[in-house]
Amino acid sequence: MTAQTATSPLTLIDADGRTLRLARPATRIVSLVPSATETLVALHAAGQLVGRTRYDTASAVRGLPLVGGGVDANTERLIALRPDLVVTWEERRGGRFRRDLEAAGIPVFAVRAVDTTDAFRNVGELGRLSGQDAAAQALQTQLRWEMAAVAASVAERRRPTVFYVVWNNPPMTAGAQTFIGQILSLAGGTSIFADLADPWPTVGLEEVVRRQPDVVVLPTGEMSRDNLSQLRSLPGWSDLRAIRTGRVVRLPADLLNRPGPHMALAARALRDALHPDLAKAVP
Amino acid sequence: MTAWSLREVTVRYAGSCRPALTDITLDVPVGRWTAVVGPNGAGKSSLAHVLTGTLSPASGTVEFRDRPIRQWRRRALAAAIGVVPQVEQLPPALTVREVVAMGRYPHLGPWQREGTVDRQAIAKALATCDVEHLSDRPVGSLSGGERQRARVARALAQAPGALVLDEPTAALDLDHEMAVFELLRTLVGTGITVLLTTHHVNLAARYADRLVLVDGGGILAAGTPAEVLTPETVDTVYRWPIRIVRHPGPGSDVGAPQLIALQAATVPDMGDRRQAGSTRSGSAA
Amino acid sequence: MTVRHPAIHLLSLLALLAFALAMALRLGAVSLRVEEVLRALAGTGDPDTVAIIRHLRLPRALQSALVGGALSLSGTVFQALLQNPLADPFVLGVSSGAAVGAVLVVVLGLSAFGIWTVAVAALAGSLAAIALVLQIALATGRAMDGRVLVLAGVMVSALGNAVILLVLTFADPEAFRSALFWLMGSNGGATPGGVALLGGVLLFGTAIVAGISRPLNLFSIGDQTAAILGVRVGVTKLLAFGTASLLAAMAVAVSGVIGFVGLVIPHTARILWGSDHRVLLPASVLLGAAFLTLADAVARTAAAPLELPIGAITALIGVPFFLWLLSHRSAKGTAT
Repeated sequence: MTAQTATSPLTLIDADGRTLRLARPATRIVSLVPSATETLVALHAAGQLVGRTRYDTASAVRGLPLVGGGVDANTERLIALRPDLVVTWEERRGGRFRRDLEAAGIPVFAVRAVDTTDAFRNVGELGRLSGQDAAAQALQTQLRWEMAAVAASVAERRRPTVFYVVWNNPPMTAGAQTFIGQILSLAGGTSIFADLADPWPTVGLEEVVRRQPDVVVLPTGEMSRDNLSQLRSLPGWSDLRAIRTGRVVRLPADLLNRPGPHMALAARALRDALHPDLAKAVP
Repeated sequence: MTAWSLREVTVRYAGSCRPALTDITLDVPVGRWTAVVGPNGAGKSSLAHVLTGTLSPASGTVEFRDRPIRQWRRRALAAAIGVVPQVEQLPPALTVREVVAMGRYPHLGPWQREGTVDRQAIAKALATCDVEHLSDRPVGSLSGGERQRARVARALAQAPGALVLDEPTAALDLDHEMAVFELLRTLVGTGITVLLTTHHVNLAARYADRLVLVDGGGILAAGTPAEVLTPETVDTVYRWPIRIVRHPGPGSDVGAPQLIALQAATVPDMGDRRQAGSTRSGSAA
Repeated sequence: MTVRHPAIHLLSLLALLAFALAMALRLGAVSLRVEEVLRALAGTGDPDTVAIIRHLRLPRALQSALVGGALSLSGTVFQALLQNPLADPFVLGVSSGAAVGAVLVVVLGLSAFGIWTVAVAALAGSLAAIALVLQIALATGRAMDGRVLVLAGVMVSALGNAVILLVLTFADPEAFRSALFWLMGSNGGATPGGVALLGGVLLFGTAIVAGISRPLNLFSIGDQTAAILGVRVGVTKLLAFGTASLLAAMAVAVSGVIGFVGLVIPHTARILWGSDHRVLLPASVLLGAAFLTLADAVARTAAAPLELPIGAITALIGVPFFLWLLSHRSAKGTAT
């Protein structure tokens, strides 16, 4: 393990393939990617953040100045905060600020935050960028261990079929290679649409009824407007045995949507929901 | 017996400061041919619209067959007055028969289909107007005169007692124009009341039983053509030197007053006349 | 320019509609045979198939038919009243007003009427838009002039679109997505109640409009012509506008904004069966119903289990067919 001091220069290649060179780890960071913000907080680097987006609602960062949304942040606000590093999305997924920020002399680092592999990698890279290498290594080790534990606990068990409801009208679910899809698989469940290649397929309700999932996962936070009783009264949904018998899992949407340091928590929560008997027994 | 009787009718168009018609008092006799003549913008069309019930006067009364026109139900009025408006955009693909068949509309209920009576009326109208041989032709392929006769046939198919035509021959060649006037004379002969507006004063004077001379929204003179077309009235209305001659015939129109406009050079006081004419204020909007 | 024996044509259209409905029940992510469909309708056999047929495909197929019929009827009437071949059911701001209502409800997260909230808001929005259009037209003093109405409709639609853009700017991603899906239009949320209501309105509307078929023929030529042939122009136009607007508003309330149908079906029907509204109106309704039912079945089936947006399918199928029809007819010469 190479010791890296808080003042060593660093060189990294980001998700857009650009090389970033910093003279020293950044101390005035703004992250436009919610999972990256969470990662930095988990790495004890919250004190190095100088701004936040609408979607960063954790207590550690709530007091920071607002720059707007993630994909549609306000460039002027960003520049006015005089950050020495801005973490943003890949260009092909909405990162649009590179040119303006670099013209203002602000270094930009793009991250990919789609699946668990990205989450792991971001822990490492963000750790280096913020000078929290040790914390990053420790976090990565811990996550690896926790994820493996979850996977082992369900290794020999029957996997219930799951319908994960990203949206209800029209029904939209998460594909196998998304973060959600991977966590689901790890947690001992099988998506009823595991055969589809698209990351976010819009499916026909007919097909959901035909495939009769054992469990329906309804993320809260987004869907709290359409509560369960309303969903039951919609045509087709009431024909799902899972809905009728109440085998519905409600979990916070932020937990399941963000490929970040909480992935083990997400995996465990999902595993406990799908295999309730394991909930208290196993970490 | 009067078909229409108007008392002190004034008509205003929205947004216009000057009334189109002012205090018109007029009786239109039944079974006769009445022609409304006068310069453009004098109010001829407005008068025609008042008579067909499509324009409501601001003041005054209009009666058709001794009943206020406002009290007539739209359909009953349409079955009593056949109208040939000045401009109309007929879909070119419509056949002549289909156009004439529209005339039966006032007589049919919403779900009713054409009956024997209707078919007979249509056939008679087609024959009378000499467009029977054009029954299946689309109106877009007809000449101006043929199209006009088809529209007269439609008005006839309404089986009315009266016809109102607004500038029916404005764009027609001489032969077609004569054909229309001859047709109208035949219709008057069968007892139908005919009222038309036209700026072809000479033709009107030859064919119509009564002339109504309109100028600036008012009636200057009404009566037989000889009574109406006098040097005084003509001078007032047409700001050009005109000589009135008698039609030589042959035909029943012998003796009808005809207006001949003179060459400017032949009139000694042309300059003064022009002066007087140009100070006259423009006609009613 | 009318067909001979219109009854035969209308009966064949009815048969086409029946065929479309049958196909809509058979097709889906999994194709069913006729006897499976019949058994499911009767309630016997695999419970999931019964659920799919009775609760999902049947209401959806019926709603597609009703929406297609309502939009086509509305479009036909507007084209006659406004003497404008580019008129569609949304020309007087119906879709824009409905969208404002729906988007506001979605973004603000209102749910006063439960699952009916968005539909009610959409209906209220379209009726408000129509009222606004009428108000503008009346203020000019020429309310029944087609050009004035179209212009007022364009203005109100533009205003509505501006409001929607503004509202969406302040929406969170979930509301944004929900609003977008509504705007794209879908018959996926069909319920028996909605179907019954729309069916009633369509029946009622068709009866009224059929009763004024002859005046509509005359309006196509001009108001003046209609008046001299005995039509009470003001009253009749008001009735026609009101009915056409209500049909469009109801269709949009239950299924979002499905474009193209209300514009092209009337033209297709006119090319095939002539301009006599006594035949054109029922033909439009039946053709539109069959068309949208089939389009919806394609949207559900073509990329199963993925679902394609219905608005895209209607245009993708409809445009080539219409262009073919247009060129075919020109090649044959003027239609008789």
